Amino acid sequence: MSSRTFLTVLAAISMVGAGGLTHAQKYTTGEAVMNAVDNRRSPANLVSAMTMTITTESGQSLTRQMQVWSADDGNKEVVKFTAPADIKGSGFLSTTLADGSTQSMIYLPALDRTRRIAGGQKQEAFFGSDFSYEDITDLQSGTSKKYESKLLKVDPGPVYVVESTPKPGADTAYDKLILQIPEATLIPTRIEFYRNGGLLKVMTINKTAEVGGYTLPTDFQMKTVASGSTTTIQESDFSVEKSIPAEVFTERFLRR
Amino acid sequence: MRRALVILLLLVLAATAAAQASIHLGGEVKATFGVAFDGTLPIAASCLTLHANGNVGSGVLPDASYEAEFIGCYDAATGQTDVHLGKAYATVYLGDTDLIVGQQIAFWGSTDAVNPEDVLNPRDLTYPVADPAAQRIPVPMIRAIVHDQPDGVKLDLVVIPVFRASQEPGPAWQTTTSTSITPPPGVTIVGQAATVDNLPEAKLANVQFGARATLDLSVLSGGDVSVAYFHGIRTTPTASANLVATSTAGQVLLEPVLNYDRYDLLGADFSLATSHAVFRGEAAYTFTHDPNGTDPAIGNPGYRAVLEAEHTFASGAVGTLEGIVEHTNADQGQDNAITEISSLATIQYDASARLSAQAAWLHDFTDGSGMLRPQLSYTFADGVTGTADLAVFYGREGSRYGAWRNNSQLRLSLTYAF
Repeated sequence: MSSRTFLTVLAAISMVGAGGLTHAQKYTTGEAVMNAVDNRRSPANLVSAMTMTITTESGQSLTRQMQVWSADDGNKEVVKFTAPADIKGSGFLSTTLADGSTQSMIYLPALDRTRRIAGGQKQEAFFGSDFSYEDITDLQSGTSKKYESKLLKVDPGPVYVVESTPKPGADTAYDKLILQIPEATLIPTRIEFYRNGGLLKVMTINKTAEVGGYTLPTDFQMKTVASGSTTTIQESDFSVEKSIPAEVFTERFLRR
Repeated sequence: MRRALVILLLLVLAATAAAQASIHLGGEVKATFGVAFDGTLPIAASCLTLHANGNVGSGVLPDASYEAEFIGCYDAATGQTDVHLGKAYATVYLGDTDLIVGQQIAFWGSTDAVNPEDVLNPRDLTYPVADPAAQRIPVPMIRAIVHDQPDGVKLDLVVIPVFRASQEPGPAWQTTTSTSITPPPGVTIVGQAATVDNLPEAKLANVQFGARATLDLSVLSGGDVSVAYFHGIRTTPTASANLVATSTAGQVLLEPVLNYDRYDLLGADFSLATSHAVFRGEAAYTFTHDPNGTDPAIGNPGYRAVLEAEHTFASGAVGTLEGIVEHTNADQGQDNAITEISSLATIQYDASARLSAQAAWLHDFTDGSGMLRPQLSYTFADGVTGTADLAVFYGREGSRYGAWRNNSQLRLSLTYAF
């Protein structure tokens, strides 16, 4: 997942209400926090390399390497796998339209064909990882139309704790998200994903880096609570704000 | 030989360096062992695939790319060794056009497993129920894909200069074909002559060509619709028979004849993604050169149509259901049109990053036969995958899949990709 995806997760969530404000903080309402997150400097275009490590509860691990192109504030994203050999060349294209809907397709070189993905399929594991297609795509800028949020409390730091729930009819696999957002960075350090009333997955962002004047998260970890498996993503080799040809975000490039 | 290979490698490296070209070398080792329910061992094969690919030019959008692969297999069960060139082609990116020349595989269609429009490549039918994608045999082809960017019409133009037939099913899979002929009164068939295989020659009249146009649709979660035309030659033969006179009056030999039908195919397909499902459909009508069904040496016209729905369940399992109709017109003056209706249901569940389970159930409603196909795959390490694949056929003797009842089998394979 690109770093901007996580940033736009926050940017997308509007907050209503606030409570439990027991510490001194710059923002006194949830809306103010989210506006600050929204206005935080982030690159519109981003290219990076990712290493994804999937580790079972028993400690066995598989590694995938990929290249990611992202543009238009995350509304367009392409992921192409570069290793290991058996999935090299596989790719994923996602485009978020103006109405907030997302069109996604995957390319499987073994079949020499692209396949469209239904909205419901976005809860499927992203190439066997603990991240889902929805984690990769739907939690982008379009999610502002999906979630309502409220400020639960403010922990020492200060760290804002936000609860987000889908609006009626929203196309998402999650019942609820709970995010922890330090005021100092306005980058979430922890996101809890709930489904059917239970905690499904927990994502943590462990490290950031200064790249081209931007502070970008570089180390992510997603843990599936039931299975105990974890997927870590380390992002590197950033290129920010350089123009990305429009052709990159096409089926043609996915197969190229 | 070794010296020649070294020189060739140096030339390739020098050429790639001079042309700002990249080269990636890789391959796959695969061992497969099969046990049939009747106690025979249908396969005990090891295969090595070596491939090279790369781009020419710099930047995210290269000027050209290439791919080549060599495949070598030895099957201890049959004693057969096979070394051949697989895909070997180059792609040149000319503005909005991809020009692809060489031995390649090209896929047309939308649905899974059963594709009426997927006629460009012959098949390796040695194991007829193998993964359809793995059955395609690369053939020399000139292909131009014209993209009307960003999301307009895509035009796919294909020319196949030289015909290549599909590899026929192994002995255990060959079903009885009707090559019988009633001799005139007073004439007796006393034996069988050698089969005449009228394989199309390499000449201009046998060049195959076609076009497919695809329009992307910005509806729901995305969709597309395509139409296709192909002027080609069937890669599997139509069997007929002649009577050949012998030196003895009144006695003839039966001479089987294999002809490869010229045909024109008109097809259409679509895919449509919604928030909860993906719908796909594909249909094609084949016009042979025997529209009235008068020539027994040429297959009759007919059509195939497939409608598919795909859904992801809350558990993450992905299921598909297909309805399939296949129709072949009757011979002139007879009422022997063949219509077969079948269904294909599949389910796939990734239990973890390593373990994946799949199952398929193909059922022919016309004769009550079918096939069950559970499969498990496990990734032991990066690039190392083991697979257990069970194929069970059922149905009465002589039915479409019941004819293969004795071929029900389990295949185990281990693959290392590097």
